Amino acid sequence: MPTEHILSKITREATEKASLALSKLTHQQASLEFTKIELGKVTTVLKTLNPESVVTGIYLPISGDAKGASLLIFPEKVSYLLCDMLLNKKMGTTQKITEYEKSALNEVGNIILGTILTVLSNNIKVKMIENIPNYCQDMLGAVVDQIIVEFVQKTEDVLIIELVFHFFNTEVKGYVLIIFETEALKALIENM
Amino acid sequence: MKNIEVNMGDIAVVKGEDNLTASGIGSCLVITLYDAKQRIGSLAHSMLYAHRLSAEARDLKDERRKVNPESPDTKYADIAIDEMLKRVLALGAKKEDIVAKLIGGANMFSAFKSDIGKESVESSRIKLKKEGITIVGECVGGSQGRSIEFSVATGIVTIKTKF
Repeated sequence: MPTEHILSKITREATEKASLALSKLTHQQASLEFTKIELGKVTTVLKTLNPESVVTGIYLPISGDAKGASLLIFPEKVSYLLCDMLLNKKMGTTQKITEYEKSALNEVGNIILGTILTVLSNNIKVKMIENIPNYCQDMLGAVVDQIIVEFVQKTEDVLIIELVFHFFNTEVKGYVLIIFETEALKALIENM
Repeated sequence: MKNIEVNMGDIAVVKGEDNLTASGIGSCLVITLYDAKQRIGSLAHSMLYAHRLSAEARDLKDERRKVNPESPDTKYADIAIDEMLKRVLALGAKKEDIVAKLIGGANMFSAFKSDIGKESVESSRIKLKKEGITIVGECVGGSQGRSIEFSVATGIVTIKTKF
């Protein structure tokens, strides 16, 4: 099966499952759509975006048969909206992220990244185990570069997934990056 | 005067009025070299230090890491420093007049057991000392991202953070 078809299939499946999970978590106030998925190179990832834009990054290490990293990135303002929904506050209340809000955001990361990894794992038949999520909020370039630096010695391939958060009448874009320690990802997808 | 953005793994060298910039630095290490008398400056946006390679990775990457005079792998700080020195000296800088600054090397996610940023900082200090280059300023470590603007006209390095 051509790589593009496999990636489209993964996108559709992940959208359905992640959207349902996020809706449940936020009491149906938010949903998610994965709009694009492609294989890219670590040194040029997200080059078109402003590296100084402030984002929230949720990093989820991956172990199992395919070791690597997954990173969910979304704009700072989405963090505050998600916290309001998850912590049952009036919209616009959250202005600061404390340990309490970090915990809620880590849970969102866990759900979104966990869903994608499960769909990926089922489709390419490789066992992937998610570990504990880690939060960071800073400039996009800084959030992404540590993940890249950790893995650039071992691989140059990264799976880049573009997603859209839907809140009421608002749509906000985010990204997921998935890197594995070896160049097996590309080979696995092409051999499906 | 123009701003020249130096991307991850690259270096740039300038003589004159331009600014060298590197935006959104986390664990990467930015190294600047400057000869104030000649107004020659260089900026490297390095990712790793050579010794960070495990033996296995070293074998796998040996072909890629071979210093190719046509395109040295400047994502490694040691190779970047060598290449920066070569290029600034070629432009007319005097080694005894060159000073260095180090910026970056943060640890953005505490989950990482290894602290690549810290290793890069320590190793670059050793490398620069070996080359006889004095480090005149550092803004390294911590857990904050940084953006850097290096004015070759004045030698001033301006650092921005999220706050």
